[in-house]
Amino acid sequence: MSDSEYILVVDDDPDVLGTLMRALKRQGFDVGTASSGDEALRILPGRIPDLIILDVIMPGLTGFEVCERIRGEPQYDQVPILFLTARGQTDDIVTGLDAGGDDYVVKPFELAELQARVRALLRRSERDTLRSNAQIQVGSLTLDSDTCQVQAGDSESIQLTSTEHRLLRYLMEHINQALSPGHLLEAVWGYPPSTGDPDLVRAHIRNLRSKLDRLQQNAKFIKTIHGVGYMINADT
Amino acid sequence: MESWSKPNTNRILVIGDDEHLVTLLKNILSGAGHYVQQAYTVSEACEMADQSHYDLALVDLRVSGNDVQAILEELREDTAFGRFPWIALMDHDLNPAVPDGASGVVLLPVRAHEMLNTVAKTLQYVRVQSPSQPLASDTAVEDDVYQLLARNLLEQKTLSDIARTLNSNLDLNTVLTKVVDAATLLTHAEEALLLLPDEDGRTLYIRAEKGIDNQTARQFRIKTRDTLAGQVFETGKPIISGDGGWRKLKTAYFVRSVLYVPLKVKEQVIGVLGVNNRASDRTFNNQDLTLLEDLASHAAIAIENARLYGETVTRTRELTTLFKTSEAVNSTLALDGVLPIITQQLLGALDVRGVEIATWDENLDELQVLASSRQLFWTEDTGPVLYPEQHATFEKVLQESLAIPADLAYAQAQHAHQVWLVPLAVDTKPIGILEVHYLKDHSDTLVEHLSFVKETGLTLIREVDPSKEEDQARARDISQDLLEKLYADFCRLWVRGTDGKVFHQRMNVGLGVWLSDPQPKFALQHLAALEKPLRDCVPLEFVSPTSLSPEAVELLNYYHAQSIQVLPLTISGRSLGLVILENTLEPRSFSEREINLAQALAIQAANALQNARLFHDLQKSLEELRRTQGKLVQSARMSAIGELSAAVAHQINNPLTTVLGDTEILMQDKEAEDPDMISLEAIHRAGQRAHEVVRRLLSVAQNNKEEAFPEPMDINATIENTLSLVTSHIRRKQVNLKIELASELPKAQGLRGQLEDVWLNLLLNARDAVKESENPTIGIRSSLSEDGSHVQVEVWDNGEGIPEEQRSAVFDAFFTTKASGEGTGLGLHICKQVVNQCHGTIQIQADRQEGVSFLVSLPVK
Repeated sequence: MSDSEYILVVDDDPDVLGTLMRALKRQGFDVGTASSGDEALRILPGRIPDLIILDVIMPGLTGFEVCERIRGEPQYDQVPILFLTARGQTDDIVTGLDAGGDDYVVKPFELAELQARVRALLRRSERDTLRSNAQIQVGSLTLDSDTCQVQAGDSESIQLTSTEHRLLRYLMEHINQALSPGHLLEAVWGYPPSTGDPDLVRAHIRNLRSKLDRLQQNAKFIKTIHGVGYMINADT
Repeated sequence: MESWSKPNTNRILVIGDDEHLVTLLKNILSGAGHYVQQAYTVSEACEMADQSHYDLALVDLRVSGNDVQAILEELREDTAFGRFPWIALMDHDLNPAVPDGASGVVLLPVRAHEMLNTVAKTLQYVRVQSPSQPLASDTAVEDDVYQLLARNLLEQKTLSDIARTLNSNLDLNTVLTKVVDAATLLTHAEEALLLLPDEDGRTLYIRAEKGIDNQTARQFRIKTRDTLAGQVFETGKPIISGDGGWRKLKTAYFVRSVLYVPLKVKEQVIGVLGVNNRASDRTFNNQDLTLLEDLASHAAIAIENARLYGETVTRTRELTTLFKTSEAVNSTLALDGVLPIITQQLLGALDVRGVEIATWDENLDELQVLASSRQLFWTEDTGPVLYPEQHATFEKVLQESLAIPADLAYAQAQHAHQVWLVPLAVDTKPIGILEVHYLKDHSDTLVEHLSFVKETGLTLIREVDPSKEEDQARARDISQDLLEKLYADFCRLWVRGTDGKVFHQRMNVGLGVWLSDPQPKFALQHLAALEKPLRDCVPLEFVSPTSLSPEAVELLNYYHAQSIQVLPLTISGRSLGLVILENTLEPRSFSEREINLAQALAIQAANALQNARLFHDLQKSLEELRRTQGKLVQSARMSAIGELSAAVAHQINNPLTTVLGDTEILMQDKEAEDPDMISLEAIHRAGQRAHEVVRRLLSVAQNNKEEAFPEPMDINATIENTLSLVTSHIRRKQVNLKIELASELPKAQGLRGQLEDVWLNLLLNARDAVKESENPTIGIRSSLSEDGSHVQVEVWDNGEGIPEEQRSAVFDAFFTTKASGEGTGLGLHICKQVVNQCHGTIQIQADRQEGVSFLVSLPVK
């Protein structure tokens, strides 16, 4: 065993599994495979992966259910999860990201694109461990980067996923700037330009908004600037 | 003593007790102008002969109670009988020898002619024998007798002739004419007239006349009170008058002597037959009276028969008309089928020359003519006129003697799509112009038949006198043949006036329906006379030249008509429009009955209009419903496709992941020049294509991107992506594909993955558009706009093109020109949505020679 980063790939299709294994191994990663959700959960404690690639639609537990269970365990809390999905399931993507996924890749994918995203997620994961503990406040909104919790004024705190937290933090650090999905993919996900899907950003924004709505109804903490992108609303 | 009204009337004594025979003799003899008296026995006759003078006696030798010899004895003994001759009436089986003392014999049964002859001969013989009679001359007597006989015969013959003719004739006008003819003949009158009452019985008007040359007298309408004729009509008693000098029959119309007798049917006076003498001193006598009364009794029956027959015919015709019209109205709901039938029926049933059916647009307050049936004729002084120098095309037609279509402005003014003008010339000298109107389409049929058209036009000019009815009928038939041959709607004939400059319209014949522009329209404010019938829903009549309001004159002038009837088209008391009936040559007034018929037909027309409107509305809503249903079906289909595509995508994308992924892995290991690379690249491309198909399937299925943010991207790259997918597909269909991509274009705003859809849709549409083209070519071209602000992509083809009226709709959802089932009508709609999201524009290039070109402009930022 080397110091190579370890990636767990879960897919019920043995061919896909084989392709991914070969592709990632070529990049120097250690690759573990599981052909169902149950198997994945079973082998997970053996070696904590640096990244999990999870097919959504599988017999037995779906990718999302697996994700939820993983996020429920504190020791796997920070492991980035990349979903593999068939295109055309936007609502499912939202559910998946809400369950704690960080990104998704639509099958079939460009190998180079997948490799780029994998590297970016791993890098971010390293970077996150070095992040400051500082709280950040914009308007009535306070984000605690330690706990990934957010509150508005004296409201109850709400838990965010790590990606949601990073997205909100980035928006809060750039008051009065409209940020395009492309920009956010580069800045928050660390993707090279033209990598990643703008739908990913939209899905996360949607989840984030519905959580912030629970803090304060109709507060519109995140504004959409039509034709450009998103901006934090400092006037709340 | 009796007074004699005629110098050559003879007093004749008939002796006999056979009533039947005596009556017959009396009739014959008095018919011949004699005065006849009867004696039952010889002794009675002798007494009578003692008291008065007789010229002749007719003795029935069969007188009962006496044998012949005794009678002869008695006659011989009587002194009175010695003074005048007598004729024996004997059965022809008796000895025909002339009895002693008798001047002649008439054999029984009596033959009128024979008897009159014997009578005349005897009288003549007596006069010659007796110098005591004051006679002018022998020949005069002879003449007189013959004249009298001839005249009586003529009278009898005339009466029996007329009786026969009258009984065999059912046409009222013929009957009336014959009656007045006979009246003058019988009474030797200068004038005869037959007066019938109008509907309310207050006025008598002349229905037939003979010999009246006074124009005003012909138009007599005589009050039934206070006039001679009126008196006859009221009392049923004849009037004979001749001694009172000049008599005034009517203002400024004097006669010397009159004889008026009533026309009676079953004791009911139905009219008056009269004779006048204006010039001659001859007065009418009782003989004339008797004759006229006889004639009147025949005439009255014939008139009544003819009237009843006429009524039956009219009634039948009306019922047939109504039946046909209602059949037409019920058989079709299309206005262009019903309206011609109704106008034709109106034209025929009401004996008018022009019919127009117009609807009223309440909002614009204008009448829109839907249908017009014309058989209009004018004389030079009544019809429309034209100054050719005011119309360039007319001038040209005349100068160059060339048949050409009139300019558009003229055609539009005539509410036609096209109007052909055909010069009609004799020895190169133009004498007229024939206009041929096409209401709906243009046609060149006329050119093929040009010489026929010209010939027909010249025939119409030469042989048709517009004021003669039989000529009109002929012209109408000729024109209708012409119109049929040319598939035209109307033809008009202009004839050069005598001054050579002005052209007069002589004829306007045809049948047209306008259901869309160029519909004839006129604002009501310009024809105020039509307001009343329209707003009050009442029929109205305008008849020239009775005193008319300026509005009425305006209306008559507008139509160049002598009389116009206007009928409202009403449905449940609401005005839909008007029926306008025209007469161009003679003013015509409608009877109450005609108005009723016209109204009944107008109601049919209104029903037809209403039905057609309702039907049209119904069809529109059905169409709307079908469209909505279509959309529903479409969207249901789309959502089904959506579900299916997701499932398919999953099934296909997994294997594709392996195909593409492993190919890439292998490719990463190979050198660029490795011979295996070609195969690997081919596999990769194929996988990409399959992937693209699935992707498109999904993108069509879920057409609901909530928020999309454009990003700057290499537009050429998106085009190339698309081309890699479709090039071979397009070229396989033998379609040329021209690709011209400008190098070094700046990045422009685009939506990842979606611009490709735009190019794909446009290219596939272009490919479909050239399916039928000879040299099918399509192309895609990218360039930078002149000001450098936009990257422009043009996708073009050399196909059929898109009709101008459809261009605005092509970007609508569910609009498609492809056959049902071939296109979703979504492609261009999606294109437009995507381009709009990129803040760009997409439009159809209008100024192309052929085919279609779509231009997409995407902003450079």
